[in-house]
Amino acid sequence: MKLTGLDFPEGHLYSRDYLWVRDLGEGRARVGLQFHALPRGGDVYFAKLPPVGSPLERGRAFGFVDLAGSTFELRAPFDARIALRNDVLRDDAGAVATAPFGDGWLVEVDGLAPEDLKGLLDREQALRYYSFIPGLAGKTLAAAQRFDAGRPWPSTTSLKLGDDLIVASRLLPAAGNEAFAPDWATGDRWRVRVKLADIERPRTYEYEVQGDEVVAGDDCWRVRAIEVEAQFPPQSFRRLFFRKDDLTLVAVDDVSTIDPALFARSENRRGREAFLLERAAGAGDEIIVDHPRMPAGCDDEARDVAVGHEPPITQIVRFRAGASRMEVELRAEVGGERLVSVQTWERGRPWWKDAARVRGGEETVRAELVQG
Amino acid sequence: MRIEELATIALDPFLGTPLGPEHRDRLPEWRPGRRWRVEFAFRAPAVPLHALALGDEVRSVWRFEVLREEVRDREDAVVVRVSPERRGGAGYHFIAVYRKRDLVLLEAKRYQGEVERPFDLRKLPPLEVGVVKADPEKRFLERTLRTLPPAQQETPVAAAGEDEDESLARAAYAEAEAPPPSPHPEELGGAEEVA
Repeated sequence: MKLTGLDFPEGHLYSRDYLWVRDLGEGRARVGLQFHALPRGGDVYFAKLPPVGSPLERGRAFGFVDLAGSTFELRAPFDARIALRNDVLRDDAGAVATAPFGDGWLVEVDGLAPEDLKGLLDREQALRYYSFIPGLAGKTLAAAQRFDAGRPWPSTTSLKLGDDLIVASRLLPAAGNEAFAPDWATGDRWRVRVKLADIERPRTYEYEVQGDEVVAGDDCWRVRAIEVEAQFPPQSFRRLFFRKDDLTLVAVDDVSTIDPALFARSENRRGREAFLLERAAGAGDEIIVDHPRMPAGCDDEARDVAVGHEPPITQIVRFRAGASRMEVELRAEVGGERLVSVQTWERGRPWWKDAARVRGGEETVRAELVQG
Repeated sequence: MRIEELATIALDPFLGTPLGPEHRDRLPEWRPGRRWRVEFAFRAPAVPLHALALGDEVRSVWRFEVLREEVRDREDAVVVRVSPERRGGAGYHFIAVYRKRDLVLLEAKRYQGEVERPFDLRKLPPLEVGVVKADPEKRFLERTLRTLPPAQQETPVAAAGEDEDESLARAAYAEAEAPPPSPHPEELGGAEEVA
Protein backbone atom coordinates (compact mmCIF):
# COMPACT_ATOMS: atom_id res chain seq x y z
CA MET A 1 0.00 0.00 0.00
CA LYS A 2 1.17 3.50 -0.78
CA LEU A 3 0.49 6.33 1.57
CA THR A 4 2.18 9.16 -0.13
CA GLY A 5 2.58 11.11 -3.26
CA LEU A 6 5.89 10.69 -4.90
CA ASP A 7 8.83 12.84 -5.66
CA PHE A 8 9.59 12.55 -9.32
CA PRO A 9 12.95 13.65 -10.71
CA GLU A 10 13.07 16.71 -12.91
CA GLY A 11 13.90 16.26 -16.58
CA HIS A 12 11.63 13.28 -17.12
CA LEU A 13 8.18 12.73 -18.53
CA TYR A 14 5.83 10.14 -17.15
CA SER A 15 3.22 7.83 -18.60
CA ARG A 16 0.05 6.90 -16.78
CA ASP A 17 1.23 3.30 -16.77
CA TYR A 18 4.17 3.69 -14.40
CA LEU A 19 6.87 4.41 -16.95
CA TRP A 20 9.22 7.35 -17.11
CA VAL A 21 10.59 8.74 -20.37
CA ARG A 22 13.72 10.83 -20.87
CA ASP A 23 13.83 12.67 -24.18
CA LEU A 24 17.29 12.16 -25.72
CA GLY A 25 16.55 14.28 -28.78
CA GLU A 26 16.39 13.41 -32.47
CA GLY A 27 13.39 11.15 -31.97
CA ARG A 28 15.13 9.02 -29.39
CA ALA A 29 14.14 8.45 -25.74
CA ARG A 30 15.10 6.31 -22.77
CA VAL A 31 12.31 4.50 -20.93
CA GLY A 32 12.27 3.11 -17.42
CA LEU A 33 9.89 1.92 -14.76
CA GLN A 34 8.64 4.40 -12.15
CA PHE A 35 9.10 1.68 -9.60
CA HIS A 36 8.22 3.86 -6.61
CA ALA A 37 4.74 4.40 -7.99
CA LEU A 38 3.82 0.75 -8.36
CA PRO A 39 0.79 -0.36 -6.39
CA ARG A 40 2.84 -3.22 -5.03
CA GLY A 41 6.57 -3.08 -4.66
CA GLY A 42 8.90 -5.85 -3.64
CA ASP A 43 12.03 -7.39 -5.04
CA VAL A 44 12.44 -7.54 -8.81
CA TYR A 45 13.46 -11.00 -10.00
CA PHE A 46 13.35 -10.72 -13.74
CA ALA A 47 12.73 -8.22 -16.54
CA LYS A 48 11.51 -9.48 -19.92
CA LEU A 49 12.27 -6.95 -22.65
CA PRO A 50 11.84 -7.17 -26.44
CA PRO A 51 14.89 -7.48 -28.71
CA VAL A 52 16.37 -4.48 -30.51
CA GLY A 53 14.35 -3.58 -33.59
CA SER A 54 10.99 -4.66 -32.16
CA PRO A 55 8.14 -2.23 -32.71
CA LEU A 56 6.24 -0.68 -29.80
CA GLU A 57 2.56 -0.03 -30.17
CA ARG A 58 1.01 2.58 -27.96
CA GLY A 59 -1.06 1.05 -25.14
CA ARG A 60 0.12 -2.50 -25.83
CA ALA A 61 2.31 -4.56 -23.54
CA PHE A 62 5.91 -4.84 -24.71
CA GLY A 63 7.41 -6.74 -21.80
CA PHE A 64 7.01 -7.44 -18.12
CA VAL A 65 8.79 -7.30 -14.82
CA ASP A 66 8.56 -10.16 -12.34
CA LEU A 67 8.13 -8.92 -8.82
CA ALA A 68 7.92 -10.90 -5.63
CA GLY A 69 4.46 -12.42 -5.89
CA SER A 70 3.24 -10.59 -8.98
CA THR A 71 4.05 -9.63 -12.55
CA PHE A 72 3.87 -6.12 -13.90
CA GLU A 73 3.18 -5.60 -17.60
CA LEU A 74 4.99 -2.80 -19.36
CA ARG A 75 2.69 -0.82 -21.64
CA ALA A 76 4.10 1.30 -24.42
CA PRO A 77 3.36 5.02 -23.99
CA PHE A 78 3.80 5.67 -27.74
CA ASP A 79 4.51 4.05 -31.07
CA ALA A 80 8.25 3.58 -31.55
CA ARG A 81 11.01 1.06 -32.16
CA ILE A 82 13.40 -0.55 -29.69
CA ALA A 83 16.85 0.88 -30.35
CA LEU A 84 18.68 -0.40 -27.29
CA ARG A 85 17.93 -2.77 -24.46
CA ASN A 86 19.47 -2.51 -21.00
CA ASP A 87 21.28 -5.83 -20.86
CA VAL A 88 22.52 -5.06 -17.36
CA LEU A 89 19.10 -6.22 -16.23
CA ARG A 90 19.80 -9.76 -17.40
CA ASP A 91 22.22 -10.13 -14.53
CA ASP A 92 20.80 -7.59 -12.13
CA ALA A 93 17.08 -7.14 -12.56
CA GLY A 94 16.98 -5.71 -9.04
CA ALA A 95 18.37 -2.45 -10.44
CA VAL A 96 14.84 -1.70 -11.65
CA ALA A 97 13.90 -1.32 -7.98
CA THR A 98 17.10 0.04 -6.50
CA ALA A 99 17.97 2.54 -9.23
CA PRO A 100 14.89 2.98 -11.40
CA PHE A 101 16.17 6.27 -12.80
CA GLY A 102 19.77 5.12 -13.06
CA ASP A 103 21.16 1.70 -13.91
CA GLY A 104 17.69 0.19 -13.83
CA TRP A 105 16.42 1.81 -17.03
CA LEU A 106 14.65 -0.56 -19.44
CA VAL A 107 15.01 0.36 -23.12
CA GLU A 108 15.87 3.15 -25.52
CA VAL A 109 13.54 3.78 -28.42
CA ASP A 110 13.78 5.76 -31.63
CA GLY A 111 11.44 6.84 -34.37
CA LEU A 112 9.54 9.21 -32.13
CA ALA A 113 7.66 12.19 -33.46
CA PRO A 114 7.54 15.35 -31.27
CA GLU A 115 3.81 14.89 -30.69
CA ASP A 116 4.43 11.43 -29.23
CA LEU A 117 5.77 13.04 -26.07
CA LYS A 118 2.97 15.54 -25.70
CA GLY A 119 0.58 13.03 -24.17
CA LEU A 120 2.94 12.34 -21.30
CA LEU A 121 2.81 13.99 -17.90
CA ASP A 122 5.38 16.46 -16.68
CA ARG A 123 6.73 16.19 -13.17
CA GLU A 124 4.01 18.23 -11.50
CA GLN A 125 1.23 16.48 -13.35
CA ALA A 126 2.72 13.09 -12.59
CA LEU A 127 3.06 13.92 -8.94
CA ARG A 128 -0.61 14.72 -8.76
CA TYR A 129 -1.62 11.75 -10.85
CA TYR A 130 0.36 9.26 -8.82
CA SER A 131 -0.60 10.82 -5.53
CA PHE A 132 -3.94 9.15 -6.12
CA ILE A 133 -2.58 5.75 -6.71
CA PRO A 134 -4.71 2.62 -6.59
CA GLY A 135 -5.46 1.90 -2.97
CA LEU A 136 -5.69 5.57 -2.17
CA ALA A 137 -8.05 6.46 -4.96
CA GLY A 138 -11.61 6.77 -3.77
CA LYS A 139 -10.57 7.24 -0.15
CA THR A 140 -9.91 10.31 1.91
CA LEU A 141 -6.49 10.90 3.36
CA ALA A 142 -7.03 12.91 6.52
CA ALA A 143 -4.83 14.11 9.33
CA ALA A 144 -5.53 15.59 12.73
CA GLN A 145 -2.88 17.31 14.79
CA ARG A 146 -2.65 18.94 18.16
CA PHE A 147 -0.08 21.66 18.84
CA ASP A 148 0.61 22.62 22.45
CA ALA A 149 2.35 25.90 23.10
CA GLY A 150 5.97 25.43 24.09
CA ARG A 151 6.23 21.88 22.83
CA PRO A 152 8.75 21.11 20.10
CA TRP A 153 6.50 18.83 18.04
CA PRO A 154 2.77 18.14 17.68
CA SER A 155 1.59 16.43 20.86
CA THR A 156 -0.49 14.06 18.78
CA THR A 157 -0.95 13.37 15.10
CA SER A 158 -3.25 10.91 13.44
CA LEU A 159 -3.41 10.06 9.77
CA LYS A 160 -6.38 8.21 8.37
CA LEU A 161 -6.86 6.55 5.02
CA GLY A 162 -10.62 6.31 4.67
CA ASP A 163 -11.76 4.91 7.99
CA ASP A 164 -8.46 3.26 8.77
CA LEU A 165 -6.12 4.94 11.20
CA ILE A 166 -2.78 4.27 9.57
CA VAL A 167 -0.40 6.44 11.56
CA ALA A 168 -0.63 7.81 15.08
CA SER A 169 2.10 9.66 16.87
CA ARG A 170 2.60 11.24 20.25
CA LEU A 171 5.31 13.36 21.72
CA LEU A 172 7.35 11.70 24.47
CA PRO A 173 9.74 13.09 27.02
CA ALA A 174 13.26 13.34 25.65
CA ALA A 175 14.26 10.41 27.83
CA GLY A 176 12.13 7.88 29.65
CA ASN A 177 10.05 4.93 28.74
CA GLU A 178 8.12 5.36 25.52
CA ALA A 179 5.23 3.20 26.69
CA PHE A 180 4.76 4.28 30.28
CA ALA A 181 6.11 7.80 30.66
CA PRO A 182 3.00 9.96 31.08
CA ASP A 183 2.24 12.62 28.53
CA TRP A 184 1.43 15.61 30.70
CA ALA A 185 0.26 19.05 29.78
CA THR A 186 -0.53 21.98 32.01
CA GLY A 187 -3.98 21.57 33.48
CA ASP A 188 -4.00 17.77 33.53
CA ARG A 189 -5.53 16.34 36.71
CA TRP A 190 -5.99 12.95 38.27
CA ARG A 191 -6.90 11.51 41.64
CA VAL A 192 -5.67 8.64 43.74
CA ARG A 193 -7.35 6.97 46.68
CA VAL A 194 -5.06 6.01 49.52
CA LYS A 195 -5.86 3.47 52.24
CA LEU A 196 -3.66 3.45 55.30
CA ALA A 197 -3.39 0.22 57.26
CA ASP A 198 -4.31 1.75 60.57
CA ILE A 199 -7.01 4.17 59.43
CA GLU A 200 -10.32 2.93 58.11
CA ARG A 201 -11.38 5.91 56.04
CA PRO A 202 -9.50 6.15 52.74
CA ARG A 203 -8.13 9.50 51.66
CA THR A 204 -8.25 11.00 48.22
CA TYR A 205 -5.50 13.14 46.73
CA GLU A 206 -5.77 15.24 43.64
CA TYR A 207 -2.79 15.87 41.40
CA GLU A 208 -2.67 18.78 39.03
CA VAL A 209 0.01 19.73 36.51
CA GLN A 210 0.24 23.43 37.23
CA GLY A 211 2.93 24.55 34.85
CA ASP A 212 6.66 24.81 34.30
CA GLU A 213 9.43 25.84 36.60
CA VAL A 214 13.20 25.68 36.51
CA VAL A 215 14.51 23.69 39.48
CA ALA A 216 18.17 22.89 39.99
CA GLY A 217 18.81 24.23 36.49
CA ASP A 218 16.35 21.88 34.83
CA ASP A 219 13.09 22.58 33.07
CA CYS A 220 10.49 20.84 35.23
CA TRP A 221 6.79 20.14 35.43
CA ARG A 222 5.25 21.50 38.64
CA VAL A 223 2.60 19.11 39.99
CA ARG A 224 0.50 19.80 43.07
CA ALA A 225 -0.78 16.91 45.18
CA ILE A 226 -3.41 17.91 47.73
CA GLU A 227 -5.92 16.00 49.80
CA VAL A 228 -9.53 16.52 48.72
CA GLU A 229 -12.84 15.41 50.19
CA ALA A 230 -11.17 15.57 53.59
CA GLN A 231 -13.04 15.90 56.87
CA PHE A 232 -10.91 18.92 57.71
CA PRO A 233 -9.14 21.29 55.35
CA PRO A 234 -5.57 20.10 54.84
CA GLN A 235 -2.88 22.21 56.43
CA SER A 236 -0.33 21.43 53.80
CA PHE A 237 0.09 19.98 50.34
CA ARG A 238 2.91 18.60 48.25
CA ARG A 239 4.48 20.29 45.30
CA LEU A 240 6.37 17.87 43.09
CA PHE A 241 8.90 18.84 40.44
CA PHE A 242 9.58 16.41 37.61
CA ARG A 243 12.36 16.98 35.12
CA LYS A 244 10.66 17.34 31.75
CA ASP A 245 13.09 15.36 29.69
CA ASP A 246 12.94 12.14 31.71
CA LEU A 247 10.25 12.68 34.37
CA THR A 248 12.68 12.20 37.23
CA LEU A 249 11.39 13.57 40.50
CA VAL A 250 13.78 16.45 41.16
CA ALA A 251 12.38 17.96 44.34
CA VAL A 252 9.41 17.88 46.69
CA ASP A 253 8.01 20.88 48.55
CA ASP A 254 5.94 20.55 51.67
CA VAL A 255 3.80 23.67 51.36
CA SER A 256 1.57 25.38 53.88
CA THR A 257 -1.98 25.85 52.63
CA ILE A 258 -2.35 28.92 54.82
CA ASP A 259 0.70 30.63 53.41
CA PRO A 260 2.02 28.92 50.26
CA ALA A 261 5.17 31.02 50.56
CA LEU A 262 6.10 28.79 53.48
CA PHE A 263 7.51 25.52 52.33
CA ALA A 264 10.26 23.05 53.02
CA ARG A 265 12.05 21.48 50.09
CA SER A 266 13.54 17.99 49.81
CA GLU A 267 15.78 17.53 46.82
CA ASN A 268 16.47 14.27 45.07
CA ARG A 269 20.11 13.78 45.87
CA ARG A 270 20.27 10.89 43.43
CA GLY A 271 19.89 13.19 40.47
CA ARG A 272 18.22 11.23 37.73
CA GLU A 273 17.44 8.20 39.81
CA ALA A 274 14.53 6.93 41.88
CA PHE A 275 13.11 8.84 44.82
CA LEU A 276 11.95 6.99 47.91
CA LEU A 277 10.74 8.95 50.91
CA GLU A 278 12.86 7.66 53.75
CA ARG A 279 11.43 9.34 56.78
CA ALA A 280 8.04 8.86 58.38
CA ALA A 281 5.74 11.46 56.90
CA GLY A 282 2.15 12.57 57.03
CA ALA A 283 -0.54 10.07 56.13
CA GLY A 284 -0.32 9.04 52.53
CA ASP A 285 2.56 11.33 51.74
CA GLU A 286 5.07 8.60 51.32
CA ILE A 287 3.13 6.87 48.58
CA ILE A 288 2.68 10.19 46.81
CA VAL A 289 6.35 10.95 46.79
CA ASP A 290 7.82 7.56 45.90
CA HIS A 291 8.83 7.76 42.27
CA PRO A 292 10.92 5.48 40.05
CA ARG A 293 13.43 6.34 37.43
CA MET A 294 11.50 5.68 34.23
CA PRO A 295 13.37 2.95 32.34
CA ALA A 296 14.39 3.91 28.84
CA GLY A 297 13.07 0.77 27.20
CA CYS A 298 10.77 -2.16 27.73
CA ASP A 299 13.48 -4.58 28.77
CA ASP A 300 13.30 -6.03 32.25
CA GLU A 301 15.92 -4.41 34.36
CA ALA A 302 17.10 -4.43 37.92
CA ARG A 303 19.34 -1.62 39.04
CA ASP A 304 21.02 -0.48 42.17
CA VAL A 305 20.64 3.27 42.30
CA ALA A 306 22.82 4.11 45.27
CA VAL A 307 24.84 6.78 43.43
CA GLY A 308 26.79 7.57 46.57
CA HIS A 309 23.82 8.38 48.76
CA GLU A 310 22.43 6.53 51.70
CA PRO A 311 20.38 4.52 51.92
CA PRO A 312 21.02 2.68 48.69
CA ILE A 313 17.90 1.96 46.68
CA THR A 314 17.35 -0.99 44.42
CA GLN A 315 14.92 -0.52 41.57
CA ILE A 316 13.49 -3.57 39.89
CA VAL A 317 11.35 -3.22 36.77
CA ARG A 318 9.26 -5.98 35.24
CA PHE A 319 7.09 -5.81 32.16
CA ARG A 320 3.91 -7.86 32.10
CA ALA A 321 1.19 -8.88 29.69
CA GLY A 322 3.03 -8.13 26.47
CA ALA A 323 4.62 -4.98 27.91
CA SER A 324 1.21 -3.43 28.51
CA ARG A 325 1.94 -3.19 32.23
CA MET A 326 5.08 -2.15 34.06
CA GLU A 327 5.74 -3.11 37.65
CA VAL A 328 8.33 -1.17 39.59
CA GLU A 329 9.70 -2.13 42.97
CA LEU A 330 11.85 0.21 45.02
CA ARG A 331 13.69 -1.27 47.99
CA ALA A 332 15.80 0.27 50.70
CA GLU A 333 16.97 -0.49 54.22
CA VAL A 334 15.96 2.36 56.51
CA GLY A 335 16.55 2.30 60.26
CA GLY A 336 17.10 -1.43 60.22
CA GLU A 337 13.79 -2.04 58.45
CA ARG A 338 13.23 -3.04 54.87
CA LEU A 339 11.20 -0.47 53.00
CA VAL A 340 9.49 -1.58 49.78
CA SER A 341 7.37 0.53 47.47
CA VAL A 342 5.59 -1.27 44.63
CA GLN A 343 3.86 0.48 41.73
CA THR A 344 2.01 -0.69 38.65
CA TRP A 345 2.06 1.59 35.61
CA GLU A 346 -0.17 1.17 32.59
CA ARG A 347 0.17 2.69 29.20
CA GLY A 348 -1.66 5.97 28.65
CA ARG A 349 -2.34 6.72 32.32
CA PRO A 350 -1.04 9.93 33.89
CA TRP A 351 0.20 8.18 37.05
CA TRP A 352 0.65 4.71 38.45
CA LYS A 353 -2.50 2.61 38.41
CA ASP A 354 -1.92 1.20 41.87
CA ALA A 355 0.79 1.26 44.49
CA ALA A 356 1.63 -0.11 47.91
CA ARG A 357 4.15 0.54 50.67
CA VAL A 358 5.55 -2.22 52.84
CA ARG A 359 7.63 -1.44 55.92
CA GLY A 360 9.26 -4.24 57.85
CA GLY A 361 7.15 -6.83 56.09
CA GLU A 362 3.83 -5.14 56.82
CA GLU A 363 1.79 -3.27 54.27
CA THR A 364 1.29 0.26 55.54
CA VAL A 365 -0.31 1.95 52.54
CA ARG A 366 -2.25 0.81 49.50
CA ALA A 367 -3.42 3.20 46.81
CA GLU A 368 -5.11 3.25 43.44
CA LEU A 369 -5.73 5.70 40.65
CA VAL A 370 -9.43 6.51 40.71
CA GLN A 371 -9.69 9.27 38.15
CA GLY A 372 -7.52 10.24 35.24
CA MET B 1 5.60 0.66 3.87
CA ARG B 2 9.14 1.46 2.95
CA ILE B 3 11.57 3.57 4.86
CA GLU B 4 10.99 6.56 2.60
CA GLU B 5 7.35 6.63 3.51
CA LEU B 6 7.97 6.26 7.20
CA ALA B 7 10.64 8.91 7.06
CA THR B 8 8.46 11.40 5.28
CA ILE B 9 5.84 11.21 7.98
CA ALA B 10 8.36 11.11 10.77
CA LEU B 11 10.45 14.05 9.59
CA ASP B 12 7.80 16.62 8.83
CA PRO B 13 5.85 17.89 11.85
CA PHE B 14 3.28 19.49 9.57
CA LEU B 15 2.82 16.61 7.09
CA GLY B 16 3.64 18.93 4.24
CA THR B 17 1.14 21.63 5.18
CA PRO B 18 2.86 24.16 7.46
CA LEU B 19 1.03 26.31 9.95
CA GLY B 20 -0.28 29.49 8.39
CA PRO B 21 1.07 32.90 9.39
CA GLU B 22 -1.89 33.40 11.72
CA HIS B 23 -0.62 30.56 13.88
CA ARG B 24 3.08 31.26 13.79
CA ASP B 25 2.96 32.00 17.51
CA ARG B 26 2.32 28.29 17.94
CA LEU B 27 5.53 27.35 16.22
CA PRO B 28 7.86 25.55 18.55
CA GLU B 29 11.23 27.04 19.32
CA TRP B 30 14.05 24.80 18.15
CA ARG B 31 17.27 25.94 19.70
CA PRO B 32 20.52 23.99 19.44
CA GLY B 33 20.65 21.27 22.06
CA ARG B 34 16.90 20.83 22.37
CA ARG B 35 15.89 17.18 22.27
CA TRP B 36 12.62 15.33 22.10
CA ARG B 37 11.21 11.94 21.16
CA VAL B 38 8.16 10.97 19.17
CA GLU B 39 6.46 7.62 19.15
CA PHE B 40 4.92 6.58 15.86
CA ALA B 41 2.52 3.68 15.42
CA PHE B 42 2.22 2.72 11.77
CA ARG B 43 -0.71 0.54 10.84
CA ALA B 44 -1.09 -0.82 7.35
CA PRO B 45 -4.46 -2.53 6.99
CA ALA B 46 -3.68 -3.93 3.57
CA VAL B 47 -0.22 -5.17 4.42
CA PRO B 48 0.04 -8.49 6.26
CA LEU B 49 2.49 -7.26 8.85
CA HIS B 50 1.52 -10.17 11.08
CA ALA B 51 3.13 -12.41 8.49
CA LEU B 52 6.38 -10.74 9.44
CA ALA B 53 5.65 -11.39 13.11
CA LEU B 54 5.24 -7.69 13.63
CA GLY B 55 1.64 -7.80 14.80
CA ASP B 56 -0.79 -5.48 13.12
CA GLU B 57 1.17 -2.35 13.77
CA VAL B 58 4.74 -1.19 13.87
CA ARG B 59 5.71 1.00 16.76
CA SER B 60 8.89 2.96 16.75
CA VAL B 61 10.32 5.85 18.67
CA TRP B 62 12.35 8.51 16.91
CA ARG B 63 14.79 10.80 18.66
CA PHE B 64 15.21 14.41 17.57
CA GLU B 65 18.06 16.71 18.50
CA VAL B 66 18.63 20.23 17.21
CA LEU B 67 22.27 20.33 16.19
CA ARG B 68 22.85 23.85 14.95
CA GLU B 69 21.57 26.83 13.07
CA GLU B 70 22.98 27.77 9.71
CA VAL B 71 22.19 29.72 6.57
CA ARG B 72 20.88 27.88 3.50
CA ASP B 73 20.24 29.78 0.31
CA ARG B 74 20.26 33.02 2.29
CA GLU B 75 17.58 31.66 4.61
CA ASP B 76 18.11 30.94 8.29
CA ALA B 77 17.79 27.22 8.81
CA VAL B 78 17.83 24.70 11.64
CA VAL B 79 19.66 21.38 11.35
CA VAL B 80 18.16 18.45 13.25
CA ARG B 81 19.43 14.93 13.73
CA VAL B 82 16.65 12.35 13.67
CA SER B 83 17.30 8.73 14.56
CA PRO B 84 15.03 5.78 15.17
CA GLU B 85 15.47 4.30 18.61
CA ARG B 86 16.61 0.67 18.65
CA ARG B 87 15.89 0.26 14.93
CA GLY B 88 17.88 0.73 11.80
CA GLY B 89 21.26 -0.40 13.10
CA ALA B 90 24.04 1.49 14.78
CA GLY B 91 24.62 4.96 13.44
CA TYR B 92 21.49 5.00 11.31
CA HIS B 93 20.08 8.51 11.25
CA PHE B 94 18.75 11.36 9.19
CA ILE B 95 19.99 14.91 9.04
CA ALA B 96 17.04 17.14 8.32
CA VAL B 97 17.18 20.84 7.50
CA TYR B 98 14.23 23.07 8.27
CA ARG B 99 13.60 26.70 7.38
CA LYS B 100 13.81 28.55 10.66
CA ARG B 101 10.96 30.98 10.18
CA ASP B 102 8.25 28.37 9.60
CA LEU B 103 10.03 25.02 10.17
CA VAL B 104 9.28 23.84 6.66
CA LEU B 105 11.31 20.73 5.88
CA LEU B 106 13.86 21.75 3.23
CA GLU B 107 16.03 18.68 2.95
CA ALA B 108 16.70 15.33 4.54
CA LYS B 109 19.66 13.04 4.10
CA ARG B 110 20.02 9.54 5.40
CA TYR B 111 23.21 8.16 6.91
CA GLN B 112 24.61 4.92 8.24
CA GLY B 113 27.28 6.30 10.48
CA GLU B 114 29.28 8.69 8.32
CA VAL B 115 28.18 7.14 5.04
CA GLU B 116 25.28 8.74 3.23
CA ARG B 117 22.56 6.36 2.03
CA PRO B 118 20.62 8.29 -0.59
CA PHE B 119 16.86 8.07 -0.58
CA ASP B 120 13.99 9.95 -2.14
CA LEU B 121 12.14 12.06 0.35
CA ARG B 122 8.52 11.62 -0.59
CA LYS B 123 5.67 13.97 -0.05
CA LEU B 124 2.12 13.48 0.99
CA PRO B 125 -0.46 14.70 -1.49
CA PRO B 126 -1.35 18.32 -0.81
CA LEU B 127 -3.51 18.44 2.29
CA GLU B 128 -6.25 21.03 2.62
CA VAL B 129 -6.63 22.64 6.01
CA GLY B 130 -10.16 21.78 7.04
CA VAL B 131 -10.55 23.23 10.49
CA VAL B 132 -8.31 25.20 12.74
CA LYS B 133 -9.38 25.73 16.30
CA ALA B 134 -7.39 28.46 17.94
CA ASP B 135 -9.67 29.31 20.81
CA PRO B 136 -7.55 31.56 23.02
CA GLU B 137 -9.00 29.79 26.05
CA LYS B 138 -7.52 26.54 24.84
CA ARG B 139 -3.96 25.74 25.63
CA PHE B 140 -3.53 23.92 22.38
CA LEU B 141 -4.30 24.29 18.72
CA GLU B 142 -6.10 21.55 16.88
CA ARG B 143 -6.14 21.30 13.16
CA THR B 144 -7.46 18.80 10.74
CA LEU B 145 -6.26 18.39 7.21
CA ARG B 146 -7.37 16.24 4.41
CA THR B 147 -7.00 15.62 0.77
CA LEU B 148 -10.10 14.77 -1.15
CA PRO B 149 -10.62 11.68 -3.22
CA PRO B 150 -12.43 11.64 -6.52
CA ALA B 151 -16.19 11.68 -6.04
CA GLN B 152 -17.58 8.21 -6.70
CA GLN B 153 -20.38 9.50 -8.90
CA GLU B 154 -17.86 11.18 -11.19
CA THR B 155 -15.84 8.05 -11.62
CA PRO B 156 -15.96 7.04 -15.26
CA VAL B 157 -16.83 3.51 -16.20
CA ALA B 158 -13.66 1.53 -16.64
CA ALA B 159 -12.74 1.09 -20.23
CA ALA B 160 -12.41 -2.38 -21.65
CA GLY B 161 -9.21 -3.93 -20.41
CA GLU B 162 -8.81 -1.31 -17.71
CA ASP B 163 -9.31 -2.40 -14.16
CA GLU B 164 -11.26 -0.46 -11.59
CA ASP B 165 -8.21 0.82 -9.76
CA GLU B 166 -6.82 2.34 -12.90
CA SER B 167 -10.14 3.94 -13.64
CA LEU B 168 -10.21 5.50 -10.19
CA ALA B 169 -6.68 6.70 -10.55
CA ARG B 170 -7.53 8.42 -13.82
CA ALA B 171 -10.64 9.94 -12.30
CA ALA B 172 -8.55 11.23 -9.44
CA TYR B 173 -6.23 12.94 -11.83
CA ALA B 174 -9.13 14.60 -13.56
CA GLU B 175 -10.46 15.65 -10.17
CA ALA B 176 -7.13 17.10 -9.18
CA GLU B 177 -7.40 19.51 -12.08
CA ALA B 178 -10.67 20.89 -10.72
CA PRO B 179 -11.06 23.13 -7.65
CA PRO B 180 -11.36 20.96 -4.55
CA PRO B 181 -14.80 20.61 -3.01
CA SER B 182 -15.38 22.17 0.38
CA PRO B 183 -14.01 20.04 3.18
CA HIS B 184 -16.39 18.59 5.74
CA PRO B 185 -14.22 18.55 8.81
CA GLU B 186 -16.89 17.13 11.07
CA GLU B 187 -16.40 13.80 9.35
CA LEU B 188 -12.77 13.66 10.19
CA GLY B 189 -12.67 13.22 13.92
CA GLY B 190 -10.32 15.31 15.97
CA ALA B 191 -6.91 14.93 17.40
CA GLU B 192 -8.47 13.84 20.68
CA GLU B 193 -9.30 10.59 19.01
CA VAL B 194 -5.76 9.40 19.29
CA ALA B 195 -4.67 11.45 22.25
